Amino acid sequence: MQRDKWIVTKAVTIFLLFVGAVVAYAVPHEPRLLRCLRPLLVIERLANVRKIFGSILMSIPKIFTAALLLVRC
Amino acid sequence: MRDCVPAYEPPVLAAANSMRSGAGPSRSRGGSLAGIVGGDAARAAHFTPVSPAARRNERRRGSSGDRSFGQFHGSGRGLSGKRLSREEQLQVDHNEFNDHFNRLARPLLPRQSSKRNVRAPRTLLEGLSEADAVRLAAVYMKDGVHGRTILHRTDPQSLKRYHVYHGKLWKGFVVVVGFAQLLLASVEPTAGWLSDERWSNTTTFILELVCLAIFTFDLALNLSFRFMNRKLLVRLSSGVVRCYRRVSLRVLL
Repeated sequence: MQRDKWIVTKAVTIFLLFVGAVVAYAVPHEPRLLRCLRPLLVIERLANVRKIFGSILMSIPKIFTAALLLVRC
Repeated sequence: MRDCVPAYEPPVLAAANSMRSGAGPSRSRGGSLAGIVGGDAARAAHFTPVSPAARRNERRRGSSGDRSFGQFHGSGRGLSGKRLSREEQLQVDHNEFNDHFNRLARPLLPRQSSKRNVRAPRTLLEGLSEADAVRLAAVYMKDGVHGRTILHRTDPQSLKRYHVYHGKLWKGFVVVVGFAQLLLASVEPTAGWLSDERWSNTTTFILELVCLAIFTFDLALNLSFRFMNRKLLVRLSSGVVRCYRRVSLRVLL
């Protein structure tokens, strides 16, 4: 199940990067925000990096809660 | 007869009785199932199942209407009034359960396919030659070592693609291509002070398309040997058959 999600993520990322490349070629001086998706293709292929990335994603809500508490205190 | 021990009632019969005693065909299935686990179960336990066929047979014999098969065995006596032993009682229970199951629940089950003679393999390696079985077993061992799913195709061509995809050479090549695509950001025209004038927009565009083509081929290679949304029936060592969508060797061991 988890692996299937990564495959879907990879397919969507490739499609978005293709669209971004075409747009960047047509409009050269616009900022290329879709470039930030490129690391996902490498992350998907490396199993250990994939685990660490998934752990970071899972811990984002708790990090956000802790940051919110720090800001309010 | 009524004050004797209540007759054994299998769950299928309880469902049928609760449906019979309920609101009829308009009652939902959820309500019927809720009746099994709820108060209807106790009521159903005291209800002696009498099928229409049994009632017709009783009428032909000329006996009273409330004397039925279930009441006979519920009292521990057979049809001839003879006291039954425990084994005979269990046999009667099983026969009655099978009879009612075939009559009530069997029509509700999905029909088998027309290929009744084609038997599904019981194990993952059944039906293969010795060499293919050893190769497939090696692949499954690799899956277990690396924690991958074993839901992939097992024909020789698919196994070749599997070895290519998970091989060090192709994997390293794809990772190098990925890092090259990441490094493209440093030479593109929009890279700010890092941008190189020798790398035009067209060059970086073509290089990125090549990288994306390689990643697309990598994705297609992955999808070519794996099942998507496929379920696998696994017979565990305890004999229980379970359905898994993602199976690792941890499940089988």
